[in-house]
Amino acid sequence: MSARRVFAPTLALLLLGAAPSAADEAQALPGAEEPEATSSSTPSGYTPEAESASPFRVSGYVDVGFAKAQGRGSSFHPDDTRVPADYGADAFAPAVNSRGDVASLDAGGRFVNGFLPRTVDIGGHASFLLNTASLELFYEPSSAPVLVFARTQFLPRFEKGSGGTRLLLQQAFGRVTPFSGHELTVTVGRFDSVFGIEYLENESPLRTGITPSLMARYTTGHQLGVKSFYRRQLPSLSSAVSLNVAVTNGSSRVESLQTADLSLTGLPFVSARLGYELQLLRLQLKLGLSGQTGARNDQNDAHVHQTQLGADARLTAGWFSLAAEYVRARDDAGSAPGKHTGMGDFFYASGFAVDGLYGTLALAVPVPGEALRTATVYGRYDRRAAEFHGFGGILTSRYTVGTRLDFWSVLSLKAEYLFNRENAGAPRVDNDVFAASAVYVF
Amino acid sequence: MSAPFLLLRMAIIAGLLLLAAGCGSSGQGSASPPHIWTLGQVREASLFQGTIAGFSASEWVTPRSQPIPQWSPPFSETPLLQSGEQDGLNVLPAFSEGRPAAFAVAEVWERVPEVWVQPWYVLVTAYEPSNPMQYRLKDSLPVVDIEEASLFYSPFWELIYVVVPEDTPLDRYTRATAILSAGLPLHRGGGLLAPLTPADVLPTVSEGRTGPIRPLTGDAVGSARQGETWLHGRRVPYLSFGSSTFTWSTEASRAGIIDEAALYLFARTGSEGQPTPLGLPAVIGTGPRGAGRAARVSATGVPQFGALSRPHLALLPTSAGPFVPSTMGLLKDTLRGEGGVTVVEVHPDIEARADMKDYVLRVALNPDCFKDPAKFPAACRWLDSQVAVEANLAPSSLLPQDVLFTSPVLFYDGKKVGR
Repeated sequence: MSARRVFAPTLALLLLGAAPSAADEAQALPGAEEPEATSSSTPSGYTPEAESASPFRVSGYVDVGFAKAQGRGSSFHPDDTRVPADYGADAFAPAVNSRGDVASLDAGGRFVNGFLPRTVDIGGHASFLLNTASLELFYEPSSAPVLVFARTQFLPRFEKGSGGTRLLLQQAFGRVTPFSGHELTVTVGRFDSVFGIEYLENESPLRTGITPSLMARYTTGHQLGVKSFYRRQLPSLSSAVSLNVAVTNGSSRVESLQTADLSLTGLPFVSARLGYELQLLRLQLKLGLSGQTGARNDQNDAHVHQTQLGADARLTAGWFSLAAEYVRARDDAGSAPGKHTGMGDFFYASGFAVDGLYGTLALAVPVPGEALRTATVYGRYDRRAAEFHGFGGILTSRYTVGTRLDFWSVLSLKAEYLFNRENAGAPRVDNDVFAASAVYVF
Repeated sequence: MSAPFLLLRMAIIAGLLLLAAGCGSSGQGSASPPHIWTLGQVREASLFQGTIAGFSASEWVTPRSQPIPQWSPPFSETPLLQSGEQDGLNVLPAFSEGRPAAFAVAEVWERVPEVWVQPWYVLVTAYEPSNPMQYRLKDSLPVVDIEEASLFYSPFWELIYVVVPEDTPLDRYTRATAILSAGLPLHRGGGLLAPLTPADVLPTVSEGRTGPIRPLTGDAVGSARQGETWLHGRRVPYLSFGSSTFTWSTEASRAGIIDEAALYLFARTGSEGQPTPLGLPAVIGTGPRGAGRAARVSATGVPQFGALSRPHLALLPTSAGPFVPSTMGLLKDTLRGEGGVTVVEVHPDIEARADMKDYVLRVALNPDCFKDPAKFPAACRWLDSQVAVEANLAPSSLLPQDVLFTSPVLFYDGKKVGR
């Protein structure tokens, strides 16, 4: 388990006066809904070690950032007059923080059609940012195999173009572990997606680097509904297989693209991930296949479908870790004008196709110091090919390099540089980004 | 297993069953999606006698060597045939601002509420604002970027002049992104109406004639110019109806949206109560319904309205009627047989007027005025302009249709518009 995985649980449990166990560490941030494999048959779900421990816990983190983007901070070329502006460029490319917020969405007054991220609206100026202040509440009584969790996030933003400061109830769910001796959980509420692996790094303390991949918009949204996770250990093979299934209002897309708060069609969205884990002494390998299908939840017709497939792999060997994910999605075109996202109401839900992947290689070196515990360097390559029906496809890519230093298990300092590239279909634009972040957990 | 666990298990299973049962299909049915009927598709529909949004496609396009509806019975005794060289985009007689006009329907935007202007890049070796085409890169094609398959396709283009070196290869810039990525100087230069179309469709020319003419009056009307443009690296044909024929919004909330105009199609109430078009000349408005907008005309007399129109069925009172001269006996009989309008005999002195042709099938609220040469035409309450239609027909009689027409105006104020 990497050092970043233990920040919050360690501190939370220290505050409670309890020592963290392996199972505790796995479950202490329920946002990471796929529990880490354990060699025992310990039931999934955090169980306090001592009767005296309070069933209530509070944790969280503060993410303070600094960012500077090239040019105007957006992917929109100033002389491009094609509309919608967000169909001919990748507005998500100049991300500045772990939420995927971008430096700017200034399209020069051109019409946009709701394929947009959130923004911190700094344009091309260097600026400090209070990315996120996150507060997490746990309730886990010793008398029942139940966990109740809520995560509230304060997102201070300047009013001008960002839509202003938001208070977000990002997750709120109850999780039941109905069968002792089995790794089966049933979760009801608003929770992380089950698609792929990048949602595991949604929160900045958990993410090795700072910014999400170019494919994160399709896989890291939160979903409202019910889901169930089951894992079966295969000790003779040092392996485990798992199945994560969710029935929700909408897909795993981020809320700026599709809302999770209600079903706009009345038809549920079904998502699943089948996982395999190989647990050896010096090597861990995790493989997964994901799929989801349902009615597009950015329009109102239940017959307009969205389908997404993915494959993921993670390999950890010594100080090295490698993670890679491929995503393919196809959206039917809407049957009537009107598109509704977390960013507002827009003109029309166009037919859409995307294929993309990313791979991250990290080297995390333990440091035997009092303050500095781990030093990590990492690199990531992203590639995304997308096309709105009839608009012409765009191919973009990104190289990310960065470093991370972990201090005292409560502070992470990160810095990274994003080299965004418009390979085809989108005009070249200066939208590289330097981002830094200090993440404090409590 | 303890009782609480057993109950919990049962509750979970029951909950999942209920969820599965409750997650049926949405109550909202799947409607036909918004669709842009390109000229190619309109032609195809016409070939198979199809309808588009309730309109007969053969009213808009005539296949080669076939009778032109507006020159066929009941409008004329013997039909005229479309030229065998190409298919014909029908010239539709109309009135606008109290005078004869003509237009065509080149594309139909079904359930598409708005249309945006898109860029049309023209390569020039130097930019001369007074005559931007003066230094056009010889033999170069324009470049566009939006396909007809997209709901954001538009035949309404904003001309953008791109200054390139004189030795630029003709296939150097075949995509908009290549132009933008090159960082070349760009100059905006007004609008161009140019649908992407099949290469063998032009405004209707009947056999034996050299150019399109307005039915009913025989006035020569404008045609269009065929050309090719680059679209995502491919050469595709287009039909240009000229520049400065439309305007678009510059308001922040509506930036780039093409200004539409009302198009009134006279109709009667059918036997089952449904509105039924009469096939009479339409009235081309100067702006959206109720806008009261004055006609915008360019310095060269080109109307800057009507190229994007929203049809409204205008239900006529039965007392209203069109001016039908005695030479159109078949049409008189047809209209009388169908009912819904009054058809009177036009006084011979009126039929002898030099300007009689300008009134053919013009609708008046009081067709009895056609009998009185002393008071004609001043005593007639004509429905020949947007203002007149909206002032004289009840709002409930004006039924907007959920379609838009790409409707180039070919004749206006006594002059042909376009090539």
